[in-house]
Amino acid sequence: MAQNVTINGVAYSNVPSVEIPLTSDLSQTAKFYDTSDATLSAGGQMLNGYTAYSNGTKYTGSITSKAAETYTPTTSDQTISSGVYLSGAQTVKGDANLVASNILSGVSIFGVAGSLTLPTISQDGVTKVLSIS
Amino acid sequence: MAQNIELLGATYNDVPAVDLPKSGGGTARFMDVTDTTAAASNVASGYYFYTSSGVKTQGSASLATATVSGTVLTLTNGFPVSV
Repeated sequence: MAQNVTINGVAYSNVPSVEIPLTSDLSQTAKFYDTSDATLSAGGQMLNGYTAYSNGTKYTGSITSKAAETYTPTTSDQTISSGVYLSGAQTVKGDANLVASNILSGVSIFGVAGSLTLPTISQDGVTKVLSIS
Repeated sequence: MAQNIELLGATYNDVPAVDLPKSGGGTARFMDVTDTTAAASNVASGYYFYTSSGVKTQGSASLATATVSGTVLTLTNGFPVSV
C-alpha cells in the first residue's frame, strides 16, 4: 500500500516504502515497507516454519504438512485432519472385488448392499440352507 | 528483522520499523521485512502478505485436488478443507 506522510513539515503522497541509510555503509539503504494492506492475519493461514509480514505484524506459519500416505479401508474410520496441508498424495485404496455379488445378502459394506445368497440343498425331502462358518 | 540505520546524523540500532506521521493524522508504520521466508505457495489462497523483498503477494495454497482412477481415490497437494 502507500501512505500520505509528513516529514519535517513536508507532505509526501502515496509513499509505499521508506529508505534510510545503513550505519555500516551510508551508500546502502535499509528499506521499510508499509504492509497495512495485507490480509494475512494468523499463523494458521500459512505453512509451518514460514514467516511473512502483514499489516505491521510478523507471522509465523503453523499449518503442518502431511506427507504422502496410503489408506487401506478397514473396520474403523481413518480421518485426514482438516488442519493440515497435504504435501503428498493421499491415496485411498479401492478393491474391484467390492461388488454386490461378493457380499452376502443382507450385509452392506461401504454402501454396497450384498446380493449373494447361500445355496440350498435338499436331502431326503428336507431343504437345508448351507451356512458359512 | 531489524536494521542499524543513520538518520540526520544519529545512529539507531536494531530498528524493526519506522513510524511516520500521516498527513491526515495518526501514524504510518513501515516495516523491515527482509527476514521473512514465505512464498505464495506457502500461504493459503486469498490472503495477502509481503515477501522478504517487499513485494505484496497473494497466497496460492488452495484446496486439495481429488481424482479417481479405477477404484483408487487420490487427494493431491492442498488443504482438505478451506483455511
